[in-house]
Amino acid sequence: MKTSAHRRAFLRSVGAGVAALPFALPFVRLVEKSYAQSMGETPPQRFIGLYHPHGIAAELFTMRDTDTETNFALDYPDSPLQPFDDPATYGQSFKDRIVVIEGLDLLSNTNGHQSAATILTGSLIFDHLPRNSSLDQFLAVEQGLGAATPVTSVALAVGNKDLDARETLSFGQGGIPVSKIVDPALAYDFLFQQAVIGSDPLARTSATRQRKLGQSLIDFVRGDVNRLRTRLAPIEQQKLDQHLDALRGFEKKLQAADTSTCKKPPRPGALPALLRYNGGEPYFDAITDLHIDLMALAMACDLTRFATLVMGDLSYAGNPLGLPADNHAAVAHTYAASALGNQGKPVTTEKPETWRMLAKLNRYSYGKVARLMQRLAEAGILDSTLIYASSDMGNPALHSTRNVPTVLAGGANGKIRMGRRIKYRTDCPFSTSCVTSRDNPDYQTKPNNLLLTSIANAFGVTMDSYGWQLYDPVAMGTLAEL
Amino acid sequence: MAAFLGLACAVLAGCSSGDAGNKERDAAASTGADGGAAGIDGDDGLGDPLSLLTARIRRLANAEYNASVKRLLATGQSPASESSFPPDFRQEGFTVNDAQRIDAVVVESLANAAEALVGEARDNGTLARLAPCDGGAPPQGCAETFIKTFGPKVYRRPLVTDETAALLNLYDVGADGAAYTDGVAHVLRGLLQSAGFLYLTELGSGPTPSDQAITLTPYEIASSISYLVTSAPPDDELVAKAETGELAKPDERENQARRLLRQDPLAMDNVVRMVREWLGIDQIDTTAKDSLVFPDFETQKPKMVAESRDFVKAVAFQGTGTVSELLGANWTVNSGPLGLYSPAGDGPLPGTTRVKDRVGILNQAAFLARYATAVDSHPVFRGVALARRVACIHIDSPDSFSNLVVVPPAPDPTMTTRERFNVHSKDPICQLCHTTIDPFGFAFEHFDGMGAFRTQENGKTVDSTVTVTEVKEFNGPYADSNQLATVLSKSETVRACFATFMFRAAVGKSTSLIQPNLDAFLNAWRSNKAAAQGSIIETLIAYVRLPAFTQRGPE
Repeated sequence: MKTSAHRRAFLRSVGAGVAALPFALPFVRLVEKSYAQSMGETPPQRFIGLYHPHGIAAELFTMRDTDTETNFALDYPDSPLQPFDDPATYGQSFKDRIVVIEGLDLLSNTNGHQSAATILTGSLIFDHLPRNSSLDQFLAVEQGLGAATPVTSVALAVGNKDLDARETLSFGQGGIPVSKIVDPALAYDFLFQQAVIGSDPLARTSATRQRKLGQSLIDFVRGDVNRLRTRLAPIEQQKLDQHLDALRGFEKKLQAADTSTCKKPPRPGALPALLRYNGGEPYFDAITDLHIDLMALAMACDLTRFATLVMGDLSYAGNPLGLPADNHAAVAHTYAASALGNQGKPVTTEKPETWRMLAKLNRYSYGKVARLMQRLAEAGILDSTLIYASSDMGNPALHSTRNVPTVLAGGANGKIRMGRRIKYRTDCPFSTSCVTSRDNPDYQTKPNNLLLTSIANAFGVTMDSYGWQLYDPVAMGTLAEL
Repeated sequence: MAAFLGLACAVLAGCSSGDAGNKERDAAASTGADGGAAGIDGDDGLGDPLSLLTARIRRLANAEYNASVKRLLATGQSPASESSFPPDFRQEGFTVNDAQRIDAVVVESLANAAEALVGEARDNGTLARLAPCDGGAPPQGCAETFIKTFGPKVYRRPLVTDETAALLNLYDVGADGAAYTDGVAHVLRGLLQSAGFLYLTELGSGPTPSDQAITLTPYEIASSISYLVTSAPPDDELVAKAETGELAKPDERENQARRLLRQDPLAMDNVVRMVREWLGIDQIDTTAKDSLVFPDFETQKPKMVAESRDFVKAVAFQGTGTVSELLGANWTVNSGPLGLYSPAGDGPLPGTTRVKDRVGILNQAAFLARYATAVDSHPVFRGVALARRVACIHIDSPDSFSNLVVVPPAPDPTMTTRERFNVHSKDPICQLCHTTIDPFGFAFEHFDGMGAFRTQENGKTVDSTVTVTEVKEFNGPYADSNQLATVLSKSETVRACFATFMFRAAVGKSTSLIQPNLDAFLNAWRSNKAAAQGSIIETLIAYVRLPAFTQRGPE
């Protein structure tokens, strides 16, 4: 695995002791054969939702004048998308495996930060929560697409376990957030290990006994939950439904025979700190890489087909990107957009140096997506894994939820044509006056609901809308261009 | 750090700025939940179903789980801790709520925790003590005895036949090909992950949901009192009182609550938790600052955290116990960051110190540092927190104005924070809310982003003088937040607001769902003199005494 000079410098800066910890998983050697290769048939589809913070520098993200839908350059100066065309770092160019979409809006009806919850739910946000499940949970749990794998789905995050709308992608039915795993070691346990049931001497030596104990335990708890459930009105029963789903997930792992074509990787070691605001920031880069590797490995081994990752904010003094210590105040909020980044409205002061700074952060984020693609490609499952990467905002200085950066990557077994750039008209093209009020009849929006519906259809679930938008017709339908 | 514009603050319907007194409603307008006007002792009649909370279950919060396993097993572990369990899901900042769920990660965390607890109980003799089997007694009989004596403690009520049978089956599986101990260990494993343990019920005794109002079972009442006061399961005395039916009487509920407050150290921690969550200062635990701007923060932070707990404890359990003292005290605890303050001799209680430049909890470092940024003070965070949580003034979120884009003022080394935020006064849309928010927020400007006192900022003199103009009860000039806090500490509006939040913390439901219940509670609270004077404990007692405490309405 190539390590960029940048990463070596980072590891040096964090300290030799830290660098000696098993941060890197020996990825390539572990996956002898991909699931697809071993099964010799159409691989199952997988979905990964990915959040990256702080919006986008639209000026450097947008299609160049010389680009067309299928013929575009990503390697111009300061391009945040450059990692998708960087064979030297990521093993190959991924230009033909991405769809870059401009002009999608998150109709969250709330402040930009909380719109993270709208990325995969397409829902309006009330009281800090969406109203429906996220697409990954909908497909995996409600549609049963995650039933066949030992792990129905996994929600990972870097540095932050909080379950608020501002930092969560995965939501179960009713918009209840799904717990996020921030510790790569615990992510490993969740994906690759069963919880150990039975610590008595006999259980320790007998997998059979462990399995028996585990199954009897699950049966008991399930029975107990069901006894309680019969006493509840329907709305209260929903609380236990998630518990039952979780027990089923636990049971699946228990029952999964050890027929994986993969060797289990070594368990990641303990990191000195994990959480933001508590010394975790210097480890975020390593944690992100570990999470990416674990997701890809788990999917290659068909342990799960649905995952989300909430990336963290690499804000600390001396960060390897050379950015200020506080990305929020000093990068996101100092971004002084041109009219393009300002919803088409003219500006008095645009500052290209702030675009470049934000684009640097964006490029870091897209570099992680490229890394994920690299891992999936090495495992032979890139074309059957659809990645949906988005930020919660477009222009972060304005907390705008319009024109958020949307990148699809990988593939849906051919059901989505990859290798394209799509730019939807915003309601503020330069030549006309800007209409930003939804009360105005000329207002136009392209909500990401349409994308979510398109993805659902690509996963074989026929629907005509996704996400709670009070039956607003503007949120119904699909993105025809996909 | 990060924009807190979407802060988990209670948005209380019906309060609008400038109408701070509208929480006072006619008794006639209330739904008369307690059947015969608030405060009449011994009135247990079922009240108006509209003002009853609905029947429900809720999952134990992490602190409750820890306290429960500690009570059951005398464990030294706190399994549901930050590092190993998913965090509590919070509703409006409160950890006790009925939105907590058990998802795939929680199920595994619970399984791992159960394993560790069972292992410990085996190793330290607890399991042998709880499930003895001596004198050649048949092991299955011992197991059944264990299930029938310990099971009710875990479930916090007697078991039904199906439950006993299911647990016996666990014993059989565990003991099969192994020993008696392995069997009872497996029973314990199951008990710790059971629905009976993990969920508190408020359902009554019916086998199916009722479309009428119901009365909680005696065991449910015992659990309600115990978890409310201590975050832990009921002890033997409370259970005994429940079984005789005495907890149906408000007087006895009050006795028991007071007993727990006196005797159980967990009660103090629990009251502290509720107060900290009310003000949002529990989040000081996860607040960080830019170490270049505030190099002292890391050393001072543990003291800020300690103060945010110990001060509340001192006020509630040693001092006058009133929200007035919380907000208006001229002293703090010695475990606080005294190096940031101006101490002036011993305080009124042991272990306390008078401070010259700090009035009450709003001017202590935890509140100030938590409602700030990594590099700066933040008058809007502080002003909104004060308005919403202390004065119950309704402040709309910027989100509720469609197309309103909030742009924080850019950093500017030539201006003070107040000068930067003064843009609010120039923009008519900003003014809609900020004429209310900003006087509260600017009053704190003599405290920087970590809560240290300052007279200068960016080479200019800090100005903390304000005039409140939009809130009738508080209108007038203030030199600073200390003066403001003094006035707040004497306000009836603030006392009622506190009561509202304590009700909210106790009930654990989304505010938008409980307005009629709140009205009924405030009626009762007002006619309880000590409670209405802002006593923290008496406010809780007023809640426990409510006839509606033991009843639930249909959904």
